Amino acid sequence: MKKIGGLKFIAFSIIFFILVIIISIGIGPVPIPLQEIIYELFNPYASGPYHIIIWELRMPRIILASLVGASLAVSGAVMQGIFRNPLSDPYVTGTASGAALGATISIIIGLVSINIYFLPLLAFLGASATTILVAIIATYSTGPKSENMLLAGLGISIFFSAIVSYLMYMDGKDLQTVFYWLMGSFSGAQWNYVYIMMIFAIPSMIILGIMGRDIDPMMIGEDHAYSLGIDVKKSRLIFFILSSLITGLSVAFSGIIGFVGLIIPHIVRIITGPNNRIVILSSIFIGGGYMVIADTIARSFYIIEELPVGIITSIIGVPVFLYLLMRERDYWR
Amino acid sequence: MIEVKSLKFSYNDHSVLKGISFIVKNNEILGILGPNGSGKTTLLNLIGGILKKKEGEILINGKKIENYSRKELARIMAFVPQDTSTAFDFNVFEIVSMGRYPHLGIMDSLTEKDKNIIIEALKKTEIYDLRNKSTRQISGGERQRVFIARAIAQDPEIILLDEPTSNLDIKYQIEILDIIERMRSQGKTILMSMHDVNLAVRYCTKIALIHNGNILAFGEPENVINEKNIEIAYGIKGKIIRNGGEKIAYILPEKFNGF
Repeated sequence: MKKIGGLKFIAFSIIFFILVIIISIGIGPVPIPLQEIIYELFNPYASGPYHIIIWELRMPRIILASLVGASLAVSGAVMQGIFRNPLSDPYVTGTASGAALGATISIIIGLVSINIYFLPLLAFLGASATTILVAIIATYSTGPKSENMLLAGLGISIFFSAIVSYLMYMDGKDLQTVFYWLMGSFSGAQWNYVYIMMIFAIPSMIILGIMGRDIDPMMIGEDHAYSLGIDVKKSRLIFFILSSLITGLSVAFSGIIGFVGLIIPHIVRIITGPNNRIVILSSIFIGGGYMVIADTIARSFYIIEELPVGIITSIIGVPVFLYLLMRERDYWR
Repeated sequence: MIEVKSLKFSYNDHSVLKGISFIVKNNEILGILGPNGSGKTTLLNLIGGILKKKEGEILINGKKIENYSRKELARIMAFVPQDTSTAFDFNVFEIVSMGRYPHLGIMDSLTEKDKNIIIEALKKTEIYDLRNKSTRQISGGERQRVFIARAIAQDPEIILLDEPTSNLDIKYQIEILDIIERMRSQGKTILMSMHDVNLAVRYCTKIALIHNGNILAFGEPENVINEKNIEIAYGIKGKIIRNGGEKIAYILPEKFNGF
């Protein structure tokens, strides 16, 4: 397949992202005409007829979804690169299982009924603790091989998932709340979450994008990276911690949403080639825009409750991915 | 100049290098020879700073290797690893431009000067016409030249190569070794591990023959490669053959008896 130039694709993905956001603002129980959306976007302090719907209901949700989508896609691209492993996703380091454990505890011991913010707080603490644990194990006891770091993450994931399952099993009444949270949703979005995501995710993604160049030789081989002056161990740890930070926040505010972090980087890489700066920068906008599309569908089609967004991300995205993979059979090599 | 003093290394309990010492002066081609598992790759990885030494000293231009930062080291020494099979879909130009990374700050992009150095390296290795091709669309010999071009673009004093001619046919082997010889004539110091004794004799100015983690012999090819050393190092009998007026000698291995 002929590769599209990197800068061209980044430009395309930014346009895609902006269009998706504008269209998504207009979609909902109350459809909003385009000129009203444009007017509101340029006059955020005016009080037009759609002011509250746009700024209080739809915008926080759309921006949160885009930040989470961007974070997961970037984190996935980085994890695949630094571990040289196409199956890596943002959750390989155990962040999701740590967050799930924190969230489950907050639901089951009733902290959530005291204050709703306990859920994201405990989820984030769980994610951070797991990341630090995996980083320590990987730094001090598993040697230099990146596979060991992956396996440490996997081991801890399985362990924490087992504890979550046990807690859910012992405490049947909150089972559905936990289960729904685990499937991921943006229905609880609010500006406070958006602000926190913005403060951490945007700078992290910019740093990852710039540093991304160092991943290129790391993908070819650790010895190649070392001989080009890259301190692989240190560099990998920085990538690992920044990606885990934005993944942990994403999970805390929206639960565990699959597909985006695993597949979006592959789709981007198949289209643009392996250059990691380009892959990371494009993933920000493609991942963000894709998550907004999925969430718009999730909030538009509900049967009893809203559809969990993770179901939609996979149902639409996997066929696209498989199609690209069949055209580009040996792209990961 | 590279000085290696009583260098020892072991993987877990398995001792690979048991006290290696030698000096490589500037503008030499040192061939590191020895049977499989003798520690050639380990030695190159230690000198290249990819593995950390356990005991002994490595001095690069008189300064201990551990006193260099990664980037400083990468500016004076390039390394062409043996495994260049995974290169994804990077094109030839992209791979060679990685050689400029040690000279760039984290925010920098390639300057005109960097681009000229890259183009120069592509021309020296005769792959300029392939620059926009994916590393998947080229042959093994061309691919090896891409990674040598990357080492040239790195603009180091010293270039380490781990078996640069393995898996190549004889024509490609000669082409690669000619490029390496040209690099020496342009002032570089080369260390490379090799399997082919006769090609090593032909191209190297010095040979280090390694056996069981020790240096069995070190010096000019004609002093190192002889029937006795070959028998000790490789466990085979060979006959020394001289080619016309050349000072160096080649080895013709005998067949094993009893097969």
